Amino acid sequence: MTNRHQPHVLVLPEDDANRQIANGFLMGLDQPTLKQIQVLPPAGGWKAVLHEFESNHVVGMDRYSGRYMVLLIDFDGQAGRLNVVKQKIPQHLQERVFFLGWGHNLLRHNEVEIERLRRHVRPILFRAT
Amino acid sequence: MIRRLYVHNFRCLENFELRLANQPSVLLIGSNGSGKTTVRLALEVLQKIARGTNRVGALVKPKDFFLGRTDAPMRFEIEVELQGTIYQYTIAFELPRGFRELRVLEENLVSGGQPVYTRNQAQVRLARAGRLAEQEANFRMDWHQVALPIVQESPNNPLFIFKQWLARMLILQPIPSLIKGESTGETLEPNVDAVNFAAWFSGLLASTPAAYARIDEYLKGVMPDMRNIRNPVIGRESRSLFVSFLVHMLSSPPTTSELEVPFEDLSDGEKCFMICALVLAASDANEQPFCFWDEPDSHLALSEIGHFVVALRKAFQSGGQFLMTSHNPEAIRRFSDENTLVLMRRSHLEPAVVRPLGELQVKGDLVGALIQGDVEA
Repeated sequence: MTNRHQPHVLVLPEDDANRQIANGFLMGLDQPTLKQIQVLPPAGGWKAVLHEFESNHVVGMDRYSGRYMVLLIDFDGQAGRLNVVKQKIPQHLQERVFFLGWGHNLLRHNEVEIERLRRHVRPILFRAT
Repeated sequence: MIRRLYVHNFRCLENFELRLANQPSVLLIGSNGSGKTTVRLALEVLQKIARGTNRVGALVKPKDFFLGRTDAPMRFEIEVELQGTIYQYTIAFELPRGFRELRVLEENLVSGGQPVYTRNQAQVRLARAGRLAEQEANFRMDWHQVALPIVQESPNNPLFIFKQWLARMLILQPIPSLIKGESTGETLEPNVDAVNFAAWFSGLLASTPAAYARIDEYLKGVMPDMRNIRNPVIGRESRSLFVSFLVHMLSSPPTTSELEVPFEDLSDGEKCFMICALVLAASDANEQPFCFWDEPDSHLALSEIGHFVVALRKAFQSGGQFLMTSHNPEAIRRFSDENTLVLMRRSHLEPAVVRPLGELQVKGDLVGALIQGDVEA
């Protein structure tokens, strides 16, 4: 069981394709850190990701300060969608919520987000060697 | 690594072929009665042969023919790649009219394209490497006995390599409540129900002492309060497993102490963690490990299943192979379309069919489709 009082990561994929991408990421982690990450069931669309986040995860993130969330969303090349998604995240949680998507036009966004993810989440999921 | 498993006329498997080449981990899913466990039983038949069961009646029964069809042979074929060499083993049984016990119709072992031995009913032809055909050894044997366990082997010859690999396949469907901590010997060959877990623990550590580090690392990851495992001698020839945990005493000032628990008193899920730890350690100790675990998630809490399955998949991704079955959504979601096979059977009068999930073009959430019964092979 993930120790909820230790830093841990929940990944919320938009759909089944994103779930499978998350699986590939899990296979690259060291065994001891596997308990610090959970991939949640696919939400069923980017709007459903937001609904799921607002309904079920804001409270959890408020309760557990070591909880980080990665939202896997297809931006489908629409920068506006990214802005919509970001605006839905409460200000006080924005540092602990990450958005990764696969729209080509938004790869620049991914680079920035991955760097932010690396900075915050790397100590949780990747042991120093 | 198994490249191909072919089974014909055995229980619900008729002309059934699993192609597993270059697949380090594979999930078998399907409805109850679709044939997943029968795949395990077919592998068990082959494993029993390699572990020394040579009496045909102890391997298969007349009732194992698909729909009682004794007019056709029952056939098992396995193709395995070990250290770059392809091994192909075939055994076929038949039940002639008036027989009560099946007999061997055909048996062959081929290594790297060269026959090691061939057999037709009682007649066995043993090839001698590099010799002329007339220098082969020919002999007859009881047709109710399988040749593989009997043919003399020498270390590191093809027969030895294949047979040892087959014998050491890990085929598991543990029954935790039956697993005790006592052992009177050592083994590297756990039973399907894992009731000889303690002997397996002893055998693994005796053959590979460094395995304890892997076991310890895994168990402390999943049970952070675990301290160590002891396996002391308790009788002339027996040992007993104990697991100790760190406990925090409600005293002033707070203190910590160790609580030692007999293995048999662990919960079913904790015993599964122990089994998983040994599977991981065995996979490290074996160059080309293979494991088939029938529903490894059976006794686990939902929050434990994901990391449990991924740890097993990871352990076998470099040169080994891990197969599992599951009905659990969390376990199913830890695999992808390219390594999930769907078994299906329309009725008890029809054989099992297997298809890669990727060919079925399931739309949306796989688990949702499974719940709705929309996944058809």
